[in-house]
Amino acid sequence: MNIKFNNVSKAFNNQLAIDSLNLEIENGEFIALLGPSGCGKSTTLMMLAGLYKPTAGEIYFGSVVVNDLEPKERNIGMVFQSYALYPHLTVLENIAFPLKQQKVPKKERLRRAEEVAELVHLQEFLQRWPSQLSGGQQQRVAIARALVKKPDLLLLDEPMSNLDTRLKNNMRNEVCRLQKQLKITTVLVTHDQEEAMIMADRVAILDAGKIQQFDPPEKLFNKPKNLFVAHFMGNPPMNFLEGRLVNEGNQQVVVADDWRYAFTKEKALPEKYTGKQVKLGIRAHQLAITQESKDALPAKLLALEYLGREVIIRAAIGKQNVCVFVENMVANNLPEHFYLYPDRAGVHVFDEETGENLSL
Amino acid sequence: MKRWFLPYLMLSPFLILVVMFYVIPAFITVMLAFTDMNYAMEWRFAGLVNFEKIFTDPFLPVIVWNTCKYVGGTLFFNVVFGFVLALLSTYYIQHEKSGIFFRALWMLPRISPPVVYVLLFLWFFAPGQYGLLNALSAIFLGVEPQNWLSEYAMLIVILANGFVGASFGMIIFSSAIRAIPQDIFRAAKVDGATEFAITKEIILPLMKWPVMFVSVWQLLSLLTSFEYILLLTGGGPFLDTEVWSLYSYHRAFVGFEFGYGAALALVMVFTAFFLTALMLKLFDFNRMIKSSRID
Repeated sequence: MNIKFNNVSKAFNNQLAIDSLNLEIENGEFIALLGPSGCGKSTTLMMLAGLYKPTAGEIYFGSVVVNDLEPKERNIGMVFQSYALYPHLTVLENIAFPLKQQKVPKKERLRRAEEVAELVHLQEFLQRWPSQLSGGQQQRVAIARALVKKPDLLLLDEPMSNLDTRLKNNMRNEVCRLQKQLKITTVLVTHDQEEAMIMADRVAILDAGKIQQFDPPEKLFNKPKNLFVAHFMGNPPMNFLEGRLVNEGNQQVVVADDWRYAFTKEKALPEKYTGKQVKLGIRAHQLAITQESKDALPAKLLALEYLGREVIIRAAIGKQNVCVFVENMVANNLPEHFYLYPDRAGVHVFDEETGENLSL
Repeated sequence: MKRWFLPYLMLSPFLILVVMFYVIPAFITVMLAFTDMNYAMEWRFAGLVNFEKIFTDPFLPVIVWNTCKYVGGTLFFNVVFGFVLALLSTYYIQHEKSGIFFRALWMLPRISPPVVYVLLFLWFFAPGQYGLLNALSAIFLGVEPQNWLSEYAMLIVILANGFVGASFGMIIFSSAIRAIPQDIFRAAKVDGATEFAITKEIILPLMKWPVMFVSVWQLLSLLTSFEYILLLTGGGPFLDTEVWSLYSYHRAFVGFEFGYGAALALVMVFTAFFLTALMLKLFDFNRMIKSSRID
């Protein structure tokens, strides 16, 4: 089932939580809603579930407007951050609960519940109470309960945030496997960019109730539409250098007090941007250390952080701090002053006022 | 020695009060039960005479039956009505202030003195054409005035007690319903449950512990309290609303058979112990205290 948001807004006490959202999700696609807390991602999910009603606009499931449909009329499955298992029901009864509500005969619903339990490897725990399960097992129950009625849409509300790292990785793989196997349209809400990047086919980045960018993970990372996306994606975050875009002779240059960066002919920006205050954005792995000053930025070493295979170098270019990824070997005998040579393909130019990426 | 001496010294005023007003009266009651003390106030031990008398008392079957009707009826009314009030004011009225206002209304009989409250009931059910219920039914149904208090004495006693007592269950149940995480209700809605199914399959099963607590608590207080009956009907007409505790009071302080009254009270205490144990068994108390069921 494909899903469409058409100019959907949601206000709480006249405060806009979602501001005319437009979003289309293909049938069988796995998308993630990613953003900092308070960005409106959970509100969006609640509207999909039917637990919140949009203030304006329409939500389509296929060709049907579902604004006024109750959750039970939507055939959706949902996994909550708290798992929300029914504490007075056994694992099997928990999984069979949605079928019971559909008045499926007892024998059949228990058989179907057992089938789904097997899918998430829970067959040994069917008679236990939720309080007797570990966090990972509880989450499997929640997933099984969401899948048992063969929903058209699966909603995941930060489902991994209560698990430890190892378990998290396992569950990510497993959820992805199930999603591909069952071909269910799935929406994941998370604040963890790594999780969104690993699991989703496309990621919508939300901030202040608006979608900043909706693209496949690699595009978000390599072609961020604006400062927010560029800053939000990637760890360590992208480096930003403030300067002014000017013309020197026939060359386009960004200048600051302590450095300058010249564009090649192919990479030059349209004339109309000349004179603007801009931010250069360069990722930590797209800066190389060199001793030559030509086309490079002068830097002063501040600190080293060892991560095992790689080292993060913290350095200062003028008044601005940057991070650089280097090999262990290089980091060991670094002089205090050196130059950083940016990979031209990885240099983005953002308008300081609007945050827009001018180099796309 | 010093280590325990000071704490006991500090506690002693309170301990003395407890001993004077709780322990000694209980002890005296037990002693009295084995005497045939009457208005002459003489201690004369008479062995088990009083207990023999209880089991041959011609009024006993009526008193026991009244007690069962009163306690059972009021308890049922309290728990069911208290649950309905809690459900309405916490789950169905999601607006917090309205819910609190609604609950506060039901607390009013608790903070008004029983005598005033009972007077209102008496006025409402008064016989003759000036009773409120009679006046209303004359206007709307054109029915002759009735003597409600003698006709439906036990029912009115149960209602009067039930309306006061329901607020206790209401408070306990509302906080228990509030303790259920919102996500559980959301999950149930997404899982396709109707409001009725949520009430029946989610809220009600999670109320097992509070229902047990309210039932046991109310059972004990209903067995021993009789002030509303005393004020409303005085046990009458005839013996229609005479329950065990009231009977014990009547025999002791109206008939001045202190020994017999004490024996009746003693039997009631053991009945209360027995019923409490039975209820704990019924609700599977041991399993319930093992782990919290809402986490």
